Amino acid sequence: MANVTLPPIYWTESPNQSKRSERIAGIVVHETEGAFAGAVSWLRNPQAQASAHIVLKEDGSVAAQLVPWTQKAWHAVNANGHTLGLELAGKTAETNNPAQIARAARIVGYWCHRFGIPARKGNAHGYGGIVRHRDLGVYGGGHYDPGGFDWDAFIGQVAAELRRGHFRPTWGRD
Amino acid sequence: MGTNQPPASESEEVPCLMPPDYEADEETMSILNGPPDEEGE
Repeated sequence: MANVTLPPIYWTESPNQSKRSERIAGIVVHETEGAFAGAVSWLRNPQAQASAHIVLKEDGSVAAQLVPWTQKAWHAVNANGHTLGLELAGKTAETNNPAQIARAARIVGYWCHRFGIPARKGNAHGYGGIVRHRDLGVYGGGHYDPGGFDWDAFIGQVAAELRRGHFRPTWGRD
Repeated sequence: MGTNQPPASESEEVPCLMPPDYEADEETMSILNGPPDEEGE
């Protein structure tokens, strides 16, 4: 299988963001519970009062960036200040496309490389690695996403991408 | 899906799931139907 690359990216800024006052120390993976375009639109809607840094299309072919890395996206309540948020387009109860998961691992691997985050599971507050939204429990808003793929295998994919490296110097907006 | 955290209410927990079958607005579709801002790796 050919090496996975970072996807093309659309810049479409969300108003649902605020100043980040903490160092980036972890990554939270979410699932939108809806289709890619609708999710991007919803997270750009001021009524949503929610956002993420990246939304990745169901087939992994493209991504949309809604919030600069240096800003706080509103995706995981108490963990917002110290994390980056990746939304997988799709539904938690359905199996994710392996191409989407492979691309997600490349994106998370890039973030690990760029911000010095270990490619391992983070703690219950989202520090020191990668967590699912649901791993945060009430601290992250009490949500149950994501699902539909093997989490342990995903962490392994991220670690493999980080080892492989060869990332472009920059991807997305700071 | 994300959850709200406006600056004035850092400790509040406000569930904010995407509405079922929410459709993209015209502006978003216009952006997503155009060329990406940055090519892939």
